[in-house]
Amino acid sequence: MTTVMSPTAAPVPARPASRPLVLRIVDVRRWPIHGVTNWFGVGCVVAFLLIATVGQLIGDPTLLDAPGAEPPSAEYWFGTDTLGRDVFARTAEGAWNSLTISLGTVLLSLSVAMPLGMLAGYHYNGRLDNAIMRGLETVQALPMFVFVMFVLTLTGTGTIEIGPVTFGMRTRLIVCLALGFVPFFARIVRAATLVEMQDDYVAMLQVLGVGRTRILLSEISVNVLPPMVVQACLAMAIAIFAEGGLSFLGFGLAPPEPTLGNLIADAGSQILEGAWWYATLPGAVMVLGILGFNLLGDALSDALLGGSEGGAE
Amino acid sequence: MSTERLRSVVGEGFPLSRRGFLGITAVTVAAATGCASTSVASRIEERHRDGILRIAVASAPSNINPLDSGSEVTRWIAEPVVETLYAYDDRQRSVPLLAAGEPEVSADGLTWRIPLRSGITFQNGDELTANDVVATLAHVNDLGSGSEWITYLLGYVQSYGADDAYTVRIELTKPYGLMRSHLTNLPIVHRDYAKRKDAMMGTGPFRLESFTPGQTFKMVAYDGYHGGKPDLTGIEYTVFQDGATRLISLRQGKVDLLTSVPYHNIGSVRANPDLHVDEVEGPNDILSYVAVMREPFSDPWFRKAVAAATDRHGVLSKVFGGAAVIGQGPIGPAEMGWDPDLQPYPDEPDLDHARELLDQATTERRDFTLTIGTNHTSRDMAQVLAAGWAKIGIDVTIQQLAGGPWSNKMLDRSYDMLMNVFQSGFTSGPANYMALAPAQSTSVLSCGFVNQEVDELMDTVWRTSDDEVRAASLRRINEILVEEAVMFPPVYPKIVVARLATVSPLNLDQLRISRVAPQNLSLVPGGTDE
Repeated sequence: MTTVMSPTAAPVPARPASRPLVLRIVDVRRWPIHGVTNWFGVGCVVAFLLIATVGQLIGDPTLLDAPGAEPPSAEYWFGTDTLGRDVFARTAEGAWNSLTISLGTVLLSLSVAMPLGMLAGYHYNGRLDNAIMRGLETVQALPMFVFVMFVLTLTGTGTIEIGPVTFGMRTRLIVCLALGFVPFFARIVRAATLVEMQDDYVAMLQVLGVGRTRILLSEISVNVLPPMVVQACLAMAIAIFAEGGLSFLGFGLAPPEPTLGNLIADAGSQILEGAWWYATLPGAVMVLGILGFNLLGDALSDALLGGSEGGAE
Repeated sequence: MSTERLRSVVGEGFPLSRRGFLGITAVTVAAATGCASTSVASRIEERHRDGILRIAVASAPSNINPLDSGSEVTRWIAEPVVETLYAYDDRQRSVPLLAAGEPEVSADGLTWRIPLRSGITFQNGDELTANDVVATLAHVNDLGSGSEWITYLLGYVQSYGADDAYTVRIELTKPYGLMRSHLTNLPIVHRDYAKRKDAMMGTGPFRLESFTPGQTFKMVAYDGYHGGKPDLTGIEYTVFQDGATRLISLRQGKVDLLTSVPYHNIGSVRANPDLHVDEVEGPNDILSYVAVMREPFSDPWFRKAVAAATDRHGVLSKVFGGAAVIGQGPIGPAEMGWDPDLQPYPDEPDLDHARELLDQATTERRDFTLTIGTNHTSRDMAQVLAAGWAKIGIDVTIQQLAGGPWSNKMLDRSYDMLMNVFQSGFTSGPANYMALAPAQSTSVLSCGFVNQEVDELMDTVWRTSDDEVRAASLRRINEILVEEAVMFPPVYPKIVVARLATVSPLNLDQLRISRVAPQNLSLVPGGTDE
């Protein structure tokens, strides 16, 4: 039981606070014992992260080392592509690119969606709520993937310079994908804020004269964070998939920079030549990322939301 | 899986042992594989009963007017339908086709009179007259028509008309030696179809019966063709944008011929005994030039360093599967003006020499953007080249643009280096004049290179009627552009066509000027003896 001090220093009963978020995530006792899939998800994410980070230290993704496409060997773990480049090095670099774009996308969209969603929820049914929600619905009118392709088609795939700022393809991909995610996150934040607003502690804080900003930033934001962490994890999986799809269609990073999507796109015709490794292995790494983050999201949901509902505290 | 376990899965009545089950499975798989192999042959045999040749192409134009584009994308589809006043024979000499004989040219070279053959009919039965040729000329000389031919004729053609039903008169503003080349490549269409973008009507052996834009084109044999009835009853073109899908369709016998064999699959196509691959050196160029008007390519040492560090062998082996010739200047081995002795650049990058050249450069820039088309070949080529240039410390950004934006870059000169694959056989036959246009300072496509000798030689190329003078001028232009490192394509790709063994051989002399000429092919039951 914690207390919130009013401006007059009078003790006010507050909502039972949870343990810090990080402690709740790492507390394995909260993870359902039957959740093999949860652990499998963690394993997939760890493997994906290892390939994306440590894997990058092995080999040069742009070096035209081999004479042509070669199957996996001790020298080239994932084989080489038609230009003689190490597919493992390119997959690792591609996974890193996918990871940074997806992470950037989720963080950017969260940083926009959190304040918007909390403001909308705090002013439920008010003018601000209506304005924000109608705006988000406008963005949502197009499916996210179509929306991103639409924006990238309009802006082209080259570099854009606006004044002193240069927007490379990576930045634009992050911004476009993040724009697509904002309505998704904002709606969840708004709903979570509405739930919090029903709690007594918010009313009491208001009665005590605590400012709106402080209530939103210090109290409500902390309590809407757990569902957002879960959703962010699931969104990571969607973002990896979306980035891969966009790269596959030629809307991703320019060559020779690899992404998991453009590696698979380039490999398509090579399957005819018997070069199974060229598409299969980068594809498997992509599956690791997508599956892993999905399962991890489920696991976090069990740990953060399911656990607290079950009164594990 | 034990027999008991198998039985538990499929039921107690299952009579087979594990080994028996696996044996039957193996036999079934083998039989299915055998049937699959047989079914391809039988499918082809069954399909060929209708006498239709099926061709897979990589793309098709939305505007099918053959007067508007000289690219192979349009003209490969138009080949069986339209014909020209003159045509190339197998020694690539221009000989009369729809024309009744050689043009009568006035002493000052400004008036051309072309006699037409009588009795030639279009596929709708109308007779070919001078009015059809005049309508064709009117369309390609109209600035608002969007025809690519305007770039060849503007400023040269003053007027045109019909002296009588079978004589066409063309008045020129100045002597124009390339006129004969244009008359050999410009298709003649029915006067009512000259402006249409959704139909084509010519005097060729096949009539366009129907088409779905961007997908399929169906042609039927025209019985009234002046050259005799063709062997085929029809020709069908199907668009498969993806190279792998195109190739699978050929391997499965769904199509008979492939016009654009993906270079990265060429090895397996060559190895397939059921397929024949025709590879010829042709006017298939990699347009490759730099913006000389600004840094870093305004610095000749920088240009020469880049040219010396170009990985020509890498592009040849890794991108084109060997189906190309090492590049030097803009004029390739199948084109007029080719100089086989001009080889200033080694096959492999000369990195030490390139670094020495780069040290002499005054520009501080060590980076540039390479703007390429969206096709897979261009992308692979750019990556190999960028890797080579990176070895001397030049950082290259690859920018891929679709046709329209790529052309805009070329026209507004907002590029560092441009590169794309370009075939010119249908506009220039065994030459490629447009590829050289950026080197001429007065051209709208000028890359900023100013050299009076090149300008004068280019003028000679366009004006002279003497092929030897033209060839000598082209050789010198090529030499200057190589020396100055303004245009240095890494390779000259070959034109590659693949076909089933059951299709008669292509005329390789015609393929050297981009003509696949499917109208002259036939289906051979049992295959050819090649």
